[in-house]
Amino acid sequence: MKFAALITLLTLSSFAQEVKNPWIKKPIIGMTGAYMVIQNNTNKEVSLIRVEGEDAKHYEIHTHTKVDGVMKMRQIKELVINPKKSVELKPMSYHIMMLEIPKKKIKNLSGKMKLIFSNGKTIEITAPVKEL
Amino acid sequence: MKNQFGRLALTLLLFLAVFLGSRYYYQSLEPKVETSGLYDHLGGDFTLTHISGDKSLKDLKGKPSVLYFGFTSCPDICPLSLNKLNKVIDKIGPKTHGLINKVFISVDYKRDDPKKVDEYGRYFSDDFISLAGSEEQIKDITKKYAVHFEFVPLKDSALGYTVDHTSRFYLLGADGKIVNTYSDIINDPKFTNDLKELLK
Ligand SMILES: [Cu+2]
Repeated sequence: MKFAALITLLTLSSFAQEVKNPWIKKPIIGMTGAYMVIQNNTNKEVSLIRVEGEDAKHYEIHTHTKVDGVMKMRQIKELVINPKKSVELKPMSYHIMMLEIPKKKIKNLSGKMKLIFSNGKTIEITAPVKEL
Repeated sequence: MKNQFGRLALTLLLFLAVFLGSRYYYQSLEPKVETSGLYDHLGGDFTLTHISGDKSLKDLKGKPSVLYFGFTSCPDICPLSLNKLNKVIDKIGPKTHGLINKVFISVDYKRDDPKKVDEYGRYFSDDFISLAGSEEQIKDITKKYAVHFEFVPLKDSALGYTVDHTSRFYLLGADGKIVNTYSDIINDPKFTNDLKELLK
C-alpha cells in the first residue's frame, strides 16, 4: 500500500504540468480555437507563455469575455495557473487561437502543438479536431 | 375586535381576487407575441451585400427572419450562436428552416467581403443568408438595430485587430418589424415560443 502511494506520488510529481482533454474546434476558414485543461501540480505559480505547432502560422493565447452583452476577445501575454490548481480553456473563455491555417491544411490538421511554460517545461500534445 | 380583523382580511382577500382576476383577463386580451413596444423605435430598412447582389429588408419580408451580427474571425461565439440557431429550429421541426430567413451579418467591413461571409455561413447550412457591407452600410444598420461593435487593435497579435460585438438574436416578423431580441435562445424558451407563434 505504502509502495503504491509512493509510486503515485512519484508519477504525479514528475508531471509538473499536465494537459487534459485537448481538442481543436473544426476550423471554418483559416482560423480556430484550441481548448484543454492545464493542471499545475507544483507548489509554485506557473504560466503558459507560448504555443508552437505546425498547423497554423500563429498560435496565440487569448481570452474571451462578455461585458454587457458584448463579446470581447483579447490576447494575453501569459496564462497563469496557480499552485495545485487547473485552468480550463473552453469556448467563450480562454483559448489558444490558431491563425493563418493554410487552405490545404484546414481539412486535415495534425493537432500537434507544443506548450511552453514559464518554468522551462514544455508539453507536447495532439489535440483531436471536433465540431463545436 | 376579532370580528373586525376578520372582516378586514376578507375585504383584502376580495380586492386581491378582483385584482388578479382582472390582470389575468387583460393579459388574455394581449396579442400572443408580445412586442412590448420596446423595439418600436428600433429596426428599419437597410441594404447590405449578399454574394448574389444587394439585399434589403424588403427582400426578407414575407417570412419571419432571425438576424445575428458577428464577424468571421470570431473563434467560438459566432459559430456557437449560428449552431444554436440551427439546433433550436431543428427542434421546432426540420421544415421550419425553409419557413424563415436565417441571416448572418458581418460587422467587420474591413476584413469580410460577401464571398468570405457566404463561405462562413454555408459551413453551418446552405440556407444561411450571409451579408457583408461597406463601412457606411454597417454603421447604418448597427445604429438602427442598436448593435454595438468596435474595432479594437490587438497590437501583438497576427490578427491585427478584433471586433467587439453585441451577441444577440433579433427576431423579425414577416412585416420586417422587430418582434423581440434574445441573448439566449437555448435555455430561455421565449425565442422558441415567439417563433412558433409567428409561424402559426
Ligand atoms: Cu481568439
